[in-house]
Amino acid sequence: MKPDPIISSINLRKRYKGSSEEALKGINLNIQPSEFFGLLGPNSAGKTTLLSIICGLISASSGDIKIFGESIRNNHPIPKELIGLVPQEIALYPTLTVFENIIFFGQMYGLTGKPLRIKADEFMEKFNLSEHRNKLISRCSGGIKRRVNLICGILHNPSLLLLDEPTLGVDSQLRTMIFEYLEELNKKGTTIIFTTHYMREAELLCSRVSFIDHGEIILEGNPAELVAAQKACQDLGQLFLNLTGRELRD
Amino acid sequence: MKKYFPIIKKEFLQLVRDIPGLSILFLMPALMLILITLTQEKVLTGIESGLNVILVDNDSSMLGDSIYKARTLFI
Repeated sequence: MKPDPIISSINLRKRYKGSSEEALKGINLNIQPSEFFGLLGPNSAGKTTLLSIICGLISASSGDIKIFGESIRNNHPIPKELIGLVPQEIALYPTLTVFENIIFFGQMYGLTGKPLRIKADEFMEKFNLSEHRNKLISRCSGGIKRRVNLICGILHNPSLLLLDEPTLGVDSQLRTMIFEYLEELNKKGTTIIFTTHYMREAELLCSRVSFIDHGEIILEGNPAELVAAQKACQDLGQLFLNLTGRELRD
Repeated sequence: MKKYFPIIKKEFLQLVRDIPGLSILFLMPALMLILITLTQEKVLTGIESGLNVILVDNDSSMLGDSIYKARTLFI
């Protein structure tokens, strides 16, 4: 018997104020516990909107979504301590140091005192940030900011981790490190939802992917099986282009 | 409540480390105060009202005398 999905959406729709087109047009999605799920799509496909609804940053216009079995329609507060979000943009305070940022986000997720400081030190050690501990974020390089951004989302050991293009603008070394860590987290039981424009990443990491375009899911399945089913495609990148076309998006 | 203190601490740290912002916060009102005082003073002293005033001093006391002497200050 399949376990209950950690996320289950039914006909989820979202229209932003003043927009003539819907950002999400009836998304039906089930994500199982401990899944490494990839959400793939071109720019303005609706990936970030879907992630924002899941973590409670914005509300859906219609439809329903159950997170940890609780429907958002019943006004149940989303258990934020169980969810970790690593946003696409660097969401850190530039006038605080690396350590102060990590501590602040840890406190916002309910961690306190010595255990929080020990955890922050452990993560900084793991991500090779100890020597940058007292550096202001505004003076840090893009790679350091990206690492701190990631730590702030995973510090509290969330059951569900939402990653919105976490490897945007990072070098190969850091990308490999982030992947290895995410795989480790997933093996420990963390459900990961991951959006990316790098198809190779999705092919390597995800147990299941969904292609989303113009607010609709157009294809879903295991990456290897999806590629195998399409004789004309050799990899996920080709499949992606076949599905979404070659015209440029906003 | 547990989250208020970290937020206050964070806001305070951000404020004290933002030197340009902090200087604008304190210097701009001070500058405005000086500028407004100077311009208002010029407005008040630079205008002649041309008002005719009759001073009737039936009291003939020191107070009436003082008002007569100080008439140029307010007319």
